[in-house]
Amino acid sequence: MIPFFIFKKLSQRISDDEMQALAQQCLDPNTSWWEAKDIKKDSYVNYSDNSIYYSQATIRPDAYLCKTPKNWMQPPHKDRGRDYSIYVPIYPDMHDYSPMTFYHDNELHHIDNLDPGAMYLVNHDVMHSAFNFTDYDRFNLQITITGDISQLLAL
Amino acid sequence: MMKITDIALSTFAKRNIINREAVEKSKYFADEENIEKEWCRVYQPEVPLYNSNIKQYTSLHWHEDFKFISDLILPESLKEHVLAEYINSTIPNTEIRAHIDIQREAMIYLPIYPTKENYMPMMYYHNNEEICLDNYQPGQVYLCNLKICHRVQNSTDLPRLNYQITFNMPFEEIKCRM
Repeated sequence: MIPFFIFKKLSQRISDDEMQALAQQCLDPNTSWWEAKDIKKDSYVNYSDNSIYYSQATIRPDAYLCKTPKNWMQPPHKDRGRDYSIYVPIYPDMHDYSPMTFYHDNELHHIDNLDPGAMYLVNHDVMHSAFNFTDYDRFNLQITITGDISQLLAL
Repeated sequence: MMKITDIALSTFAKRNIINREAVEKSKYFADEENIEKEWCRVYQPEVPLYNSNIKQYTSLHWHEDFKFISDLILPESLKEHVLAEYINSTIPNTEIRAHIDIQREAMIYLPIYPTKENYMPMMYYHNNEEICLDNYQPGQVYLCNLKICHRVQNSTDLPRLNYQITFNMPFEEIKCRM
């Protein structure tokens, strides 16, 4: 039985070089972005969500880059097509990154980007949102987890 | 409701704002000459969560002409427990981030303007569900528990106006007295 968690900061990290490469790909005007409805992997996204764009991460083929344009949002929701993901905030960093907010047990929990390179294991069955009311497009990397997460929880 | 809407819109247009004492005691009335003060921004966070470009505040408006509203909607048994009452306005493109009220327990809440899909609902987050309190039934009054996490985002071009009667008692006690 998997113990309940909202999100867990993992001991593994994305290296500085990888973070830089990911940020470059995110900000590259030639990077192509897909709408959620164009994603072919059923397990990946919430299909009702048209406020987020995806791109394949070149240095991490198992991952997708996600883009929330400035002043767009993902209102509070629970993902229907997946339970868990590994989540890495990429750009912008520090206080310019609008956090992913979780609503649980009458409390708010946030994943911010005050520790660039940090990896988080996220429970997408807990209601969550992202309001990118900033002057920047917002990017993160997500790897959907479909199998046993017990090993990840041990990290 | 038409009279209430007219008076709410007229008040909002004049921007007369409740004074500091009236936030705590409804017997104090706003001066029509009052200008909007920083402390009227009742939910403006001192420490922003992030560098947001959306305004974070709501303002309170009161005039003794409003008293007929509470006479209409406030049960007699609750009158002695009223902490304050006012029109609450959220200007266009403003957000009240998800929060739990610190100084208030419960309120009677009357959505006023706009109506239907133009009134941005108060959203509650409870038991991993989102609960939406909208204005599809104009004139409907609600008892709200302000100790449950809630938020408002007025992403319209219209001011969002409602009437709030705040109590100094917990939600469950108010509920029992209704």
